[in-house]
Amino acid sequence: MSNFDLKKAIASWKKSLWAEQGLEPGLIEELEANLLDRVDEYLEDGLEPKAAFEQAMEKSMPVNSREVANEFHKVQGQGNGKPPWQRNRYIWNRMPLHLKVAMRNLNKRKGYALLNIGGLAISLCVSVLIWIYVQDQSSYDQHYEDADRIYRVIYDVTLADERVPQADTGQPVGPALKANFPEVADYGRIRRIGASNTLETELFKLESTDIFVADTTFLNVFSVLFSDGDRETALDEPNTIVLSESLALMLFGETEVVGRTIRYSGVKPPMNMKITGVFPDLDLHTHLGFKALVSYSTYFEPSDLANWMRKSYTYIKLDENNNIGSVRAKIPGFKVKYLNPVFEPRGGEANLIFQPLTDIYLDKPYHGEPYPHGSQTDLKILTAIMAFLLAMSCINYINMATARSVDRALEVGIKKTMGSTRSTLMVQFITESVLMALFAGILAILLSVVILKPYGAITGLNLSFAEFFKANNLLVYGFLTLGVGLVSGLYPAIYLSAFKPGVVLKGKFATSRKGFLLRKGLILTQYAISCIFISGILVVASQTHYIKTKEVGFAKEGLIEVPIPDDISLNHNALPFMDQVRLMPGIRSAALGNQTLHEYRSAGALNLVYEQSGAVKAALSYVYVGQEYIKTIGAEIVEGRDFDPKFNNEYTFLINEKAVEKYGWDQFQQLKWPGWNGDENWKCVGVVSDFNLGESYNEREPMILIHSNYPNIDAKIYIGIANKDLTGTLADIQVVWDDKFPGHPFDYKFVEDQLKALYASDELFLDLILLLGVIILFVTVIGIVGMISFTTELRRKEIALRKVSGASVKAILGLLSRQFINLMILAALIGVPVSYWLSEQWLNNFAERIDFSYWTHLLALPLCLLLTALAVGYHSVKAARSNPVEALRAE
Amino acid sequence: MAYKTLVAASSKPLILSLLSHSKSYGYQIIKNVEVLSKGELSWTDAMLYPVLHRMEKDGLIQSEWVVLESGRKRKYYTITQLGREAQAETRSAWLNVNHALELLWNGSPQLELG
Repeated sequence: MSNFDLKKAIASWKKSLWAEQGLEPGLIEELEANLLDRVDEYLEDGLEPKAAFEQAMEKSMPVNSREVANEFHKVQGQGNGKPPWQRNRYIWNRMPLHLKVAMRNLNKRKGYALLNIGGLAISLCVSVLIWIYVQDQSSYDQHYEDADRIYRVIYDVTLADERVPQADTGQPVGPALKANFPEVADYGRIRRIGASNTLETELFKLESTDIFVADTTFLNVFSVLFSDGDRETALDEPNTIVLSESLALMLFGETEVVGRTIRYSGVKPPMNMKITGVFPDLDLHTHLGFKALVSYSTYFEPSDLANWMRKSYTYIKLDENNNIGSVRAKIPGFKVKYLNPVFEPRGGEANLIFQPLTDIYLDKPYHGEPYPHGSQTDLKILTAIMAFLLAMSCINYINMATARSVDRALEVGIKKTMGSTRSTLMVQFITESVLMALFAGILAILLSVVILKPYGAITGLNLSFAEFFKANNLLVYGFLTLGVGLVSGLYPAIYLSAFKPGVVLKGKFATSRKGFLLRKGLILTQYAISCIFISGILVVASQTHYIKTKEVGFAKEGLIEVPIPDDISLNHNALPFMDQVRLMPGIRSAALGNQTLHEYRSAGALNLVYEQSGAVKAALSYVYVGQEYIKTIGAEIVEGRDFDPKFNNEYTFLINEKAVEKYGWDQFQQLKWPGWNGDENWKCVGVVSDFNLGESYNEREPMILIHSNYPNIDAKIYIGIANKDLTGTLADIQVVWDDKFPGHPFDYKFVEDQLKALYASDELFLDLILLLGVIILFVTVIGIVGMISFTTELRRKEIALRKVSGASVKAILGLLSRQFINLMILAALIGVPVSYWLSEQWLNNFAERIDFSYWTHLLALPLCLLLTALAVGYHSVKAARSNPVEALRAE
Repeated sequence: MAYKTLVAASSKPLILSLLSHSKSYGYQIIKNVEVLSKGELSWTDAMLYPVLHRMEKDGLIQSEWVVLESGRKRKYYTITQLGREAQAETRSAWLNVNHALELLWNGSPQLELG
């Protein structure tokens, strides 16, 4: 006997139909009635219940319930597409709908969308441009093969208790490192020669400061490929030179010049040099931008190469294990063996520091760097600005999106009632923010194209459109755009999608205190960032102004420098030339000097004798200068006399006030110097006022000015012009020059211009900070404008009631602005200490710097106030002046 | 396939014609069609009910639930006026087709040849 339960089987079958989304209850009932009719008939025919049920099932529903549901969907003609249970549930499939809704929402609130998109576009555009700049600055020297295994050796020298780490090291350092340490695969030495060198062919004559001498192993370390010549042997012989392609083109009009001869003059007497190689111009991203390499043996005598005090930049390349730690660990032993015997007799010591090649450009410059450096601090500041800017834009979006919550609450309520899940709503809100970000991204690219040229002019980045549109940059655009879209959309999505339909649809919804506090917090953050930026701009601007206008201790205006021609037969004419110039009207004087005034000069150790206290080893910057030098440059003689031609100036020197102060030489007459060899008798004849060598923000060093009136090849003639008619005076000087140095151009430079060029990087930074600061403020104002427009909208009725009750426009203005002003004062309280700390960090880069002043930090407050007043003003006045009846009638 | 299409095309005229005689319910319709076609047309519920619902939606037939003595419920369908008109239309169309085929297969059709 079968124990089949027909009722249970039918109930179970029915249950399976209930699970089918497309089968309505009435339909299932009808199908059940039909099945029962069939079963009845089969039972009457004498079948067992189980067989009757199975047969009825087979006849009635030969297909599964899903197919029946599909058929019904077709019949009911609901939608032309697939039935809901067949639709794909992935986000992408719903995207078109989300995009449609997002577009509608953007369209509904055009002003709001434009503010957000505009602000975001500016932030994205500037961020990517900053990113490109930071990448550019960080990519120095990375193009060299095995760049990660190359290190520059720093000579960390301490002489007379003064520690002066130097970029160049003694000649034997490189060879000794290779000989002692198996980790060192090779070394290379290179030295920049002279401030000016002349290369001459029949076709062309040019002066270049980018000529270096390099030893035979230099090209083993640096992978400079040759386009012509043999790089293995190019620097082996004396009087050989390797040229860059552009230099070869300039000099010969072609680049296939190996084997030809060139006339060189500069630090060495004029000589012919054989060209042994040509290399393609170096990538501009290198700290060592040489244009020509002269062989080491041309410049150095064999005895020089054993001299630990004759210096060159020394680079080492490690073996494949690249274990710099192991090399560093052995340096104490190296120091005892090699460096102490050299430096201890001089009363000092030296150590070696290994600086990774790719870090050199952004590291703090050591003394004697061949070229100016970039600044890691500046890049960090710029990167921080980029992050701030993006954060500000996200904050703006979050603020405006959550402020619209009243607007969106009803929408969320209805959608939830109609069956939307929270996740669907979140996706919809995030789609809105991403869509907005995408619009902003496109606008940002267009904006970048427009400002690419001016931006290049400020930063020196000469980006072509092709370079700008390379995949890398576009990827960053895409990444930032999506990132900003997602980040800024996330909080509003969580916040808005959490509304309970029961509450919002009953009209009981009010902006939550939590949301209100969050928005206040975000605005506070924006204000604080703006305050920090305004203070930052003021600090950078003040410091830049300070160093540019700071007294350098000599009369830089009207002071010219002209190098003595490299023609030995005419050198002696320098003295009569100066004599004649001195007699001209409007001329302060003329003098010789071997040290350019715009270059820093590190201290050297001199053994001086002060009668009262005996011998002293003094760390002094030393310069060789000729007669009437002090008068010429417009410094002052504090005590004693200048190198006056009325006196015999042989074996005399001057010291400056800093030296007197540091070493207590109050009686300058008691100061003597036995010369470099210790067998001469030099006398101090006066004390000169302090003046700067190099940047005005460098500390003024104790200095000794040694008399030398010999017009050697390194010397320059300085002429101080006090006359207002500069052009006329220069023309007069030229006449004398042409007479004394026929065939040599009167190639003068204004010292003031040379000094100005030193501040170019500071000015660039100021320009950038200024530009970015203005943009940050703009983005903040956009945020505030957005917020105030929503606030006034929310408070329309309140304003109307207040007006009806007799409040004045002024009172209402106060009411609306108060919260922003309070926030701003709070922000200033937070921002000022932060900006103080940040600006101290930056200012510590300068030996001579502006002092802390409250006004630079507190001035940010009224500026922010003004901007807020402008942003708040319009909406407040509009709200305060509106007809209260209209607002009240809206209910 | 061709037969399947014919079955599908004939379902509407068959239902209308059956209901023009008297009201009926799903299983009865299936049984009657089976008998009339000598077992050739064996409709399933999955095929019938969507058609019935479509015709009801189009206003050709209407339905009502009837509670039987046994307590079971059954849904009866009746033809509407619109349904009768539709039935008349489909009838003449089917007759025309039937006449043409009848002549071609069994009679002496006057055909233009050559």
